[in-house]
Amino acid sequence: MIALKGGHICDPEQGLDAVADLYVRDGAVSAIMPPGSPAPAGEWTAYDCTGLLVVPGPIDTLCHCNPRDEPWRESLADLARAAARGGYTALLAFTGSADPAALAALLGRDLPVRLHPVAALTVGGRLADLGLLADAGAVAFSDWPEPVADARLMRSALEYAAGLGLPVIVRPEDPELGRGGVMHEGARSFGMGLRGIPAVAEAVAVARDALLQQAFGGRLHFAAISAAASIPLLGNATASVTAHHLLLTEAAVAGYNTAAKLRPPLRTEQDRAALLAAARDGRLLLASGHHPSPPEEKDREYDYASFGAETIGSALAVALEVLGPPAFVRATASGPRAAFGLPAGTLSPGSPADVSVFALGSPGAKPQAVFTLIAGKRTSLDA
Amino acid sequence: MLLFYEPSTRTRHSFELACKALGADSVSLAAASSAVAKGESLADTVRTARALGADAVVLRHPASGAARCAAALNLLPVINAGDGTHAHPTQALLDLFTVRQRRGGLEGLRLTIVGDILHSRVARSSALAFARTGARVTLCGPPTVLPPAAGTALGAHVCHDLATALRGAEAVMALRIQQERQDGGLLPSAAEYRARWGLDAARLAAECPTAILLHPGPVNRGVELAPDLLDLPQSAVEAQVRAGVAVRMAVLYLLLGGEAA
Repeated sequence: MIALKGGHICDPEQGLDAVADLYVRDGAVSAIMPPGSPAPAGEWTAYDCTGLLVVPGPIDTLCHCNPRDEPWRESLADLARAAARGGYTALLAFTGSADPAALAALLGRDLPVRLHPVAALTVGGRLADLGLLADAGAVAFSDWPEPVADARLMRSALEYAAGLGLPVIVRPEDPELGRGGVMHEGARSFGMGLRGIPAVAEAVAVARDALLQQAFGGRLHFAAISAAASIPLLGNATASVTAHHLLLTEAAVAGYNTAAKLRPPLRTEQDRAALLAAARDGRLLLASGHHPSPPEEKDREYDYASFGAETIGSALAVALEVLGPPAFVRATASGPRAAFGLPAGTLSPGSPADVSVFALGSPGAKPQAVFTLIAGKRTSLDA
Repeated sequence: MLLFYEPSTRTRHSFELACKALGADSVSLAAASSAVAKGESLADTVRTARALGADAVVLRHPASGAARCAAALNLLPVINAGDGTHAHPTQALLDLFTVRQRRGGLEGLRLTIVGDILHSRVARSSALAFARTGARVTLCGPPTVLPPAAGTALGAHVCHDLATALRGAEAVMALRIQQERQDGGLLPSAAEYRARWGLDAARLAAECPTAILLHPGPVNRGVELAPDLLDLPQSAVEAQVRAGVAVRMAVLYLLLGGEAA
């Protein structure tokens, strides 16, 4: 039994945004009481959270994971440790796996974050075995980082997954409009002689799938949008944005900087501002978009370098700084909880005590995760 | 050490002759017939060049930014002999040299570049170089290969009408049209291109009768240039090739031999 005392507790859905004491019993939130109130009966291990921010445990809505544990890529254990250090308590892990047994094996792993596997949506132009994958523990289906090019297959996917009550997650990009592109299309890509991915390649894909959802139903989520033009086209779908798209623009690519070669690409200041406004309004969820590459895939010609960056350790600190606590909690906890039907992501009494504690930033210091609880247990990062 | 990761006749021979004229030894490494074809990275190839005793690398590479990537290793001086669709600096220098010789100066020059600007490293480098000397540069070509962003990026005027773009030009550069652009859906047929964007004697006579004619080569006679144009006195295409050797000698001398000399 744990008590987090004197922290600033923020969970806007519960109307919480004040200093209070949080009590955890049997792995669940048991009570939130005004500061200094007498503790409920029982033996409490108390943590002094004075000056700290206490929030429902953040859930990452997009990170690449390496289910085959290829030794030259980031292992699942390393991913989970980095995520926990960054303040996450749960991950939607994009496995790309269409194998129910492999998915079930992931769930048996002892990790410092909860793992919610996202299974493959299609295999070789057909639907994956979505029902068997759901039985094995998939919380959603996605072909990320590949887009779903075929509209007919996308329709089937939405309809079939709806029957299972699970969402379909897509990376919105028209594959032909985006073909061969390595950065945002505009004056900068022209000047650098790099092939661009126009903003409209994303917007037309968002429009297509939002219309398919309106016509045929189903639950739809767009993983990591990057263009202002996509926002008004989302329809009934949910969508996420990465922390780095809230912070950076295509200017980061200057000098053929492969660290800024991302999918979707960093875009303009207008795009960044529109994404930030939508994330503050609760229209967009947050994603780390974590997708690391071995150095030999990044330290090379820009055209040939891999897409993606190692962001899971920094995404929450960045988001907390640019969004502020209430919007941060909506984008990282209550929003993902609702979009993916997860039990955690709230501090309502009786819900799983997945909690994250942050030191807020100050001028000259970034916010920083201090520790996390999963089901009321303090997470060990030594494993 | 000349590292050529894509086929090039004129630039490679031009650098080789420039080295020879300066008394330097040059070794050409064509990517297709070397360790590169076996998957060696650019960084490792530059390391090998240094280990073999090279004093500098002249690099032609299909990826934009490759020369910068090689130079960032800080192992050897790198001379960019063309990187992707980004830049071809020695071509821009030889274009400046050719026009200055013909015209007697570059002040107030009006240059028009016609063709596939989007995929041309020559257009980018030359537009920037001429603009820096005070020239007024106009870019002209089909809208699919001349986006509005080109004007912003290069500080040039963008015009999609050939006659307007040519009017009053003192130098006109035509760019090579590549078959794969038609296959990629960006351009219609060669016949359509010739009719709308090809240069011929009548067009030049009507809009810019004394303009110096430039082309980075190799020329598709009968597509971007009418077959007889290269033989007219205003064609400077051969002069460009001649200037290429001298300009590359100057580049090698100033960048590599300047201090010792």
